[in-house]
Amino acid sequence: MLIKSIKHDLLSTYRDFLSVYSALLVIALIGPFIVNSGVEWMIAILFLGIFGFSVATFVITFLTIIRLYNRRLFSAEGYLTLTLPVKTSTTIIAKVVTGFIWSTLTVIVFGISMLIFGLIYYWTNGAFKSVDYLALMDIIEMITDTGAVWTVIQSVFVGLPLTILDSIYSLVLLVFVMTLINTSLIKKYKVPVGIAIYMVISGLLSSVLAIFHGAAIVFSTGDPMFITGPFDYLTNFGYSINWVSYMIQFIGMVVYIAGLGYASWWLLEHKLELE
Amino acid sequence: MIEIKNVTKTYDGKPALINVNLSLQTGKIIGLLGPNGSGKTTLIKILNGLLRDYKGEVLIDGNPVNEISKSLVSYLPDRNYLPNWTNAEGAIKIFKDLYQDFDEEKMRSLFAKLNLDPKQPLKKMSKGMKEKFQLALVMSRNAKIYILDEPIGGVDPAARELILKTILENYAPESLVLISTHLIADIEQIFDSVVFLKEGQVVLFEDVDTIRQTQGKSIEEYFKEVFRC
Amino acid sequence: MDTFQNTQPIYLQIMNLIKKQIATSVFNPGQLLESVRELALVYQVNPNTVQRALSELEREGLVRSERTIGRYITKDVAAIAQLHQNLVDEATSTYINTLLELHMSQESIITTVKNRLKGDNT
Repeated sequence: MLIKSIKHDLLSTYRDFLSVYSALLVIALIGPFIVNSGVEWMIAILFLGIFGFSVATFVITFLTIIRLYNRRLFSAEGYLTLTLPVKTSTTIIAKVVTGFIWSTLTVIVFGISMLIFGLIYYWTNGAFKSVDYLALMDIIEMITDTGAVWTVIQSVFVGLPLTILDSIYSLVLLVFVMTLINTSLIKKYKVPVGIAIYMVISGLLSSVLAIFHGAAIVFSTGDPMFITGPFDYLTNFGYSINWVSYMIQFIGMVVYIAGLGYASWWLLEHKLELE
Repeated sequence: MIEIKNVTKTYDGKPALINVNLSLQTGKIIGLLGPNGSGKTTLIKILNGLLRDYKGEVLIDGNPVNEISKSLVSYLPDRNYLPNWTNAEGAIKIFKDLYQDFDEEKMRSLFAKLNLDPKQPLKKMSKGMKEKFQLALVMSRNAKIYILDEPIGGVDPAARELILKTILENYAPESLVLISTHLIADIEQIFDSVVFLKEGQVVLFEDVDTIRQTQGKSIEEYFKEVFRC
Repeated sequence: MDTFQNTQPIYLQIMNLIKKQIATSVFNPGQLLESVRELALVYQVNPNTVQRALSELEREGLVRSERTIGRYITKDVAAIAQLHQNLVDEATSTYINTLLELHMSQESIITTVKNRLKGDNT
């Protein structure tokens, strides 16, 4: 049932993302030619556009996911979604997974677009014409010798789970807040209250985790200067990983996700009030 | 089949349902009648799990309101609940996937009878067509319980007759049909019994022919009498 | 297609309809009736209402039911004749009582009937 729910959630929501992704690909394909044309004002607009669009992509993705949750669960469509013979827990998990798939896909499509942009640009400017294979082999050997590759792989494997958890955490928090404003507990001014609650809880949870994180660092290294923000695992790349720091963040995220997930479930089961 | 025990629901101090007790049996077509704001929709939402904060207990074929009860109930709400771009083919895919008791054959034949085009998306349909569309979907499930909220509300008399016929055709001694409506005259001859809901309270739950016998009136006339003032 | 009055119990109206159909030979003795379901669809009424009507008719001996076959009109010609007679008596009483209430004498009632029938013979 979970797979089916996810499948139908995706089918019901792909149209929203299609436009975003098409726009990204269009920029990637046309952009290089605009740059090559040398027309200054067009280039200026393009880069402004790209910068603005990068920011916009992620904001739009976030907003689209919010709209998606709201539409599927709490609008007229909710009369279908919430009366399906599906367990409440399955519904919640399906929504989070769907949100995760879309946000991950957005990152991937964005990355690919930028890659295409770069490749087309360099190709149209004479690169790749004659590939010097020997030089290429030398470069590759050089990179592997410094152990930089291993470091990169290490950081990806270390950083990725936390990034994923962070993404899931944001989505579950979103589900929780949106569910909250659609219960009997919050009757008026649902949207502003929702936004406020999201920011308050988000800030609160980050601070709590930061405190634990900081305390753990102090205990393990004895150096209070090692206190960093909860998501500064990036600074651990290339250096020896502080496993205490890592575990604190990892466990913290898991606890938050479980807690918010359970809270969302409880709200849907006992306090739901669909308009 | 549906047991409603001491259900009370209050919105902000205003009571929507007050100590409702009803026992709805299998093999019956029951009318839930009352003016706007009498609590009909509230009760129906509770039965379908769209309203969870209330006092009392609801049992659907022995189950509390959960994924099992939802698999037993085919619900027609008073609004369009499918995305605008959906057409019959899309809806069939969804229902086939998520409901074990969905009958595709029935759906297609209902569509033909109701003069609907299976390829036409909802956004291109008139209000009446959208209602027929959803009704066809809901009645194509071989469910134990059908809960229909205003099934003949926005449709023309010809479609109305078709819809009543469809409801009767779907009748089975093992199933229960609960119909909430304010258009009593057109539909009262298919009811077994009716519930009168007045300001959140059950003021009557009786067989229709008994009402006709003892009151010498049609259900519609008796309804007007009870709800006058 | 028949429409019933909502002001009277529908099962009674169905019974009366079927009785009339028996008495006027629309149904023949021993004729198999459609199922409850089919009748409900034809009449556009609740199947339980049809069920009740047929059960009552069974009680009155006008309809018989056999498990594997279904329901059929009684083969008892005498019972049907009795029904016919009952309906005639009913109609007659109603007619005569109405005219009596309208202060018509017995002779004028008979004349009225005769004239009416003569007129209807064309």
